[in-house]
Amino acid sequence: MKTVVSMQNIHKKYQGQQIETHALQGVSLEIQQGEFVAITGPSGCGKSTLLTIMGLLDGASEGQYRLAGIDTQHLKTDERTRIRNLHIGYVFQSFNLIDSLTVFENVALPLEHRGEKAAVIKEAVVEALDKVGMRHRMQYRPNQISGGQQQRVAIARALVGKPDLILVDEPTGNLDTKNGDAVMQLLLELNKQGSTIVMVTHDSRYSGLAHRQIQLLDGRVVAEKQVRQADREVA
Amino acid sequence: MSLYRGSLRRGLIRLFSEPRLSLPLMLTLGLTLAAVLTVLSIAQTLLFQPLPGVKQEQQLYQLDVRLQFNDEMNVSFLSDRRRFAHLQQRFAGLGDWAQVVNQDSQAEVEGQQYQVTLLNATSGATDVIGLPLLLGEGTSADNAKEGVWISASLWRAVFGERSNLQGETIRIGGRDWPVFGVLGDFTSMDIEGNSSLIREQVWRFAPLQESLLNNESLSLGTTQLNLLRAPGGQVPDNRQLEDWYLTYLDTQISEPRAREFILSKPHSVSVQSYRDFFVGDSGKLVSLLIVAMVSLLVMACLNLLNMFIAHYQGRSKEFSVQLCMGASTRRLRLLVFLENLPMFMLASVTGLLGAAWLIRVLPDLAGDSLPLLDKINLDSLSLLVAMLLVMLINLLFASVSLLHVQQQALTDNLNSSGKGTPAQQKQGLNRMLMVLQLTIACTLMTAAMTSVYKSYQDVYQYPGYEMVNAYEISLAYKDEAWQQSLYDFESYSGSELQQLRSALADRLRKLEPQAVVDVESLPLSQSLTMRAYPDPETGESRMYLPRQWGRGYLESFHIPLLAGADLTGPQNGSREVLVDLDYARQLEGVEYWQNLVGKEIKLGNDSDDIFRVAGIVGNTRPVLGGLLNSTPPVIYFADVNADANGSDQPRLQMVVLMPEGQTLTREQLVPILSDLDPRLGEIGLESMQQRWQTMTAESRLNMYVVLGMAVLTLALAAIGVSGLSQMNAAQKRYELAVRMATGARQNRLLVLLLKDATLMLSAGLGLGLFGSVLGYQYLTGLIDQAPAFNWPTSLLVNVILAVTMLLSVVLPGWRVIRADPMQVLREL
Ligand SMILES: Nc1ncnc2c1ncn2[C@@H]1O[C@H](COP(=O)(O)OP(=O)(O)OP(=O)(O)O)[C@@H](O)[C@H]1O
Ligand SMILES: [Mg+2]
Repeated sequence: MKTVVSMQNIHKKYQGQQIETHALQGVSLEIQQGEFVAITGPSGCGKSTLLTIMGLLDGASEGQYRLAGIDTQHLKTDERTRIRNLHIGYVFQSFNLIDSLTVFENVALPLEHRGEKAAVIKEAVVEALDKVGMRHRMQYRPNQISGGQQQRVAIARALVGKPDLILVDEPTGNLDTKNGDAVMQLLLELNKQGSTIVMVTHDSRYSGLAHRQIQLLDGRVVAEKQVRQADREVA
Repeated sequence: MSLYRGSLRRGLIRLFSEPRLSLPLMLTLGLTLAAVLTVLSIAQTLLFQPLPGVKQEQQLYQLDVRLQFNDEMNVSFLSDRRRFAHLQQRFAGLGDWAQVVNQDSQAEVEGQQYQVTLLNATSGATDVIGLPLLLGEGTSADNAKEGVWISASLWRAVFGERSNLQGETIRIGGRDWPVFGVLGDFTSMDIEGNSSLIREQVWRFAPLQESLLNNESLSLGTTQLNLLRAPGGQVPDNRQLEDWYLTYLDTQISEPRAREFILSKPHSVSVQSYRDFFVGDSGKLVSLLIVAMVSLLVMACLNLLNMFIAHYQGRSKEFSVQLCMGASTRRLRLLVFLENLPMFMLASVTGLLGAAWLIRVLPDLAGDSLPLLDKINLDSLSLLVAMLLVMLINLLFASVSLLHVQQQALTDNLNSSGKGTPAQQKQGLNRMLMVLQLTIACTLMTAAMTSVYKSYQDVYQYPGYEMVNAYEISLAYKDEAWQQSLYDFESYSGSELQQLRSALADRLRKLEPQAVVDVESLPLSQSLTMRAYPDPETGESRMYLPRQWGRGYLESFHIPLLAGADLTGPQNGSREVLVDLDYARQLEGVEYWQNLVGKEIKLGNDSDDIFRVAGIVGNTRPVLGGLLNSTPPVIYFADVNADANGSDQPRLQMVVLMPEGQTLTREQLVPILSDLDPRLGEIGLESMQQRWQTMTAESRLNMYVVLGMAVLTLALAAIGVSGLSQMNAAQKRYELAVRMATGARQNRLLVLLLKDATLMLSAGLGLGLFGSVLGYQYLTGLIDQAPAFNWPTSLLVNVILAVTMLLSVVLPGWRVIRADPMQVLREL
C-alpha cells in the first residue's frame, strides 16, 4: 500500500503582533492510500492548522512533510499550487464557493486550472455532480441553493480532479443532523470507491466511522486508535 | 479557454452592472488619458513634425546677438540690416543668408482693406528658407525692390487665385506696389510680443548687400529671422560671432558714447538650429505640461487603484478559493486582467475621443502661444501609446489588486466566516497610495495656484489708472509724403499737424463727449517705445518710457498728481515734463522723491535733452496680461515732438472720453470724420475695455485653464480620499455597530474615524509641502518666466487641501454612521 501523507515532527508557529502561538508542536503521522482518517480534539488544539498544512495551503514552521512521496518543504509557490491541484481536494467548513460562478463552473475550477479540454471537464463535472446528487442544480448559483447542497457541491469540487487525498474540515459543522448524515454518507461512499480522506470533526458519531482516529491536544497527537470494522458497520 | 472567456464576459457585463467601478474608471482614466495624449501629440509635433514651408531644416540656422537691457527686455543687435550684411560678408563662404522682419500692416486693393503681415526680407530670403514660389518671378530678381510678393492666402482672398496678376497692385504704406509673385503661406516663424503672424502676407525684398551703403543707425530692435543655410553644416560658433560683434563695434560705430552705451549692456550670442529657435520656450513648456499631465494620470491611477484594491479585497475569498483549486497567481492575474479589459478599453476609447476633441479646440485655447498648432493631430503612434499605457495600467492593477491574495493569507481568507470583510485586511497599501497621491496633489496645486496668482495679478492688479469709458480713434494716412511732412514740421506751434489735430478734436466734440484728450494713445497701450540714455552724472544708462501728455489726461484716467503741478499745455513752449513716482525715486531716493519737483533732468547730452520736472504722478502699468512684467518709469511730455512717440506714427490718433454708459460706434464717427481731410483714410476705433479684453485674453485664459487643472487635481484627491474613507468606514461597520450597541454616540464614532484619517492626511500634506517646495525650485530652474514661489500661496493650497480632505473623510464616514450600522449585527 502507498503512503499518501507522511509527517515528521511538524511544528507550526503563528507570529502575531505581540504574541506567538505554537499551534502544532511536533506532529508525526502517516496516512496510507485508501484510508479514512478522522482528526478530533477540543477547539483550538490545532486541527484546522494541521489540515491546512496537509493541504499545502500553509507551510510548516518546522518538520518534514511528504505528500504522495514528494518532499514539500522547499517547493515554490507555483509548484505547491500545481501539486495541490493534482493531488488534493479540499472541503471547507464554510463551503467557500464562488458566488459569481454557477455550480457547474465552481466544480469545474480544479480541472480548468489544470488546463483540461472542455469536453473532458464537462464529463468529469457532470459525473462528480452525479455522485453528490447535485446534477439537477448545475446552472444554479451558490446563493440559490441550501447549505447542505452547497456542501455537497464543495465535495464534488474536491473530488472532481480525482485527487489522491481529500481533506475535509468540519463538513457537518454548519449542517443539521439530516444534512450532516447525508454528507457523511457521501464521504464514506467516496472512501469505498478508493479516495483517501482526512476529516476534521468534533462529532464523535462521525469520527467513529473512520478507519482511524487521531486525537490532538494542544498541538500534539495524544492518541491514535483504529476503529474496528464492526463498529463502522454498526454506524 | 472557458475560464478566460468567462472572465471577459463578466467584464463586459460589469461595465453596466457595476457603474461604481466602471464609471469612475472611464471618466478619470479616460479624461486624464486624453490630457496626456494631447500633450504627447503636441510634443511629438514640436519635436518631429517637419516645419511647414521650410526645406531641409537641419541645414538652417538662426544667429543672433542680443543685448540685455533689463530683466524683462533684450533686443537684437542684428536688427539693423547693415550689421547683418556685415556679418554675412565676414562668413559669406558658409552658405546663403537671409533676414526677415515682420510687421502688422494694412493693405488696400481697390478700396478694400486687408489686415496683413508685412514681411521685409532680404532678396532671395524665401529661397534660403525653402518657401515654395507658386507664381511669378523668383524673389532674388534684380528688380525685387520695385514690387511685392503675396502669400497664397492673400492671393485667394484678394485675387481669387487668379493666375494672371499682370498689372495688379497692392497699396501699402501709401504706395501702390505691383504684385510680382505668389509664395506659399509662411507659418514657421515665432513672433514675439504684440504683433502676430497671419496667413495673409505681403513680402518685400531688398538686396542684403545694399544695406552696407547705409550709415550705421545706432538703433536696436526686437526679434527677426537672421538665417543661414549652411549645406556643409559649418556655422560660425559663439566665439566667432562674439569676435565679429566686438570688431563691428570697434570699426563701425564711430560715436564713442554710443559704443560705450552698447558695451555697457550685457550681450549674448547664439547660433541654433532653426527648429530649436522656432520651438524655443514652447519645448520647455510642453515638457512641463507632460510632467503635470502624467502626474494627474498617476493621481487618477492611484485613486482607481484604491478603488480596485477595495473591490478585490471584497472578493479575496473568491481568489483564495481559486488559488486553493490550483490556479497559479499568474493565471489569476490574467483572469483579473481579462475581467477588466473591457473597462480599460472603454477608458482608452474615451481618452482618444477626448484627445481628439481637445486637439480640435486647442487653437482656441492656446491662441498663438503654441507653434505648429495646425499640424498637431492624433496619429497611429498616439493610438499605440494610449493602448500600451492602458494595458500597462491594467496589468499593474491586476497585480496590485491581488497582492493581498497571497499564500500566507490564504488560510485566513478561507477560514473566515463568509459575512463581512475579514478584519485582518491590511490597509497599509491603500494608505501609502493615498499619501503619495496627496503629495502629488499638493505639488501640482502649489505650482498651479502660483501660476494662477501671477496671471491674476497680471490682469487684475490696479494699473494706476481707471478703466474709463474711453476710446482711441484713429485715421489712416493715405499719403506717405504728406504724413512725412506733417511730422517733420510738427514742432512749430501752429504747424499743420497741430492744426489737423485741433480740427480733429473739434469734430470729435460734436459727439458731446465728456472730454477729448489730445494725445495719441490710451494709457493702456498696444505698443510702447522705450528710451535709454546715459545718466550725465554717473554715466550709467537709464531707461524710461516716453508718453504723451494732453490736457485733461490725468483727470480723465484718474492718475493722481502726487507732488508739484500738472503741465499747462504744449503751447507755452516750455520744456516741462511730468515724471512718475518710480522715476522720482530712482533719482532722489525712496524717501525724498518729492525733491525732484522743479529740478532739471537731462535725458541725453544735447541741450534739448534738458527738461524741468513740473510734477510727479502715480505709477502706471501701460501693459497688462504679463506681456511685460515691469516697464521702465514713465515721463510725460507736453510737446508731441519733444520725445513722445512722435515721428513714426502710422496713423493720426486721438482719445475721447464718452459719458458713462454711452458707447461710441464707427457709424457715429464716419459722418463726422470722413471729410476731415482727403488725405486721411480708413477710420479706426477701439475702446479701452476692448483693449483690456484683447490684451488680457491670453492671461485670463491661462488662468482659467490652470485653475481648472488645480480644481481637477483637488477633485481627484477628494475623490480618492473620500473613497478610501468610505471603504474604511464600511469595513469598520461591524466595529462601529458593536460600539453603538454598547452605547457609543454617533459623534464619538466620527472621532474614531477621523483619528485614523488625520495621521494619513498630515503625512500626505507634510510630504506634499516638502515636495512642492522642492518641485517648484526645480521648475524655476527650468523655466525663466516661472513666477516666484510664495509661501502664502503654498500654505493656502495646503489649507484648502486639508479642509477638502477632512470633509472627504467626514462626509462618507458620517453617511455610514447615519445609515444604521446596527443592521450589520442583525445580518450576522
Ligand atoms: N492565523 C492565525 N494566527 C495566529 N494564531 C492562529 C491562527 N490560526 C490559528 N491560530 C491559533 O492556533 C491554534 C490552533 O488553531 P486551529 O484553528 O488549528 O484550531 P482548531 O483545532 O481548528 O479549533 P476549532 O475546533 O475551534 O476549529 C489556536 O490557538 C489559534 O488561536
Ligand atoms: Mg478549526
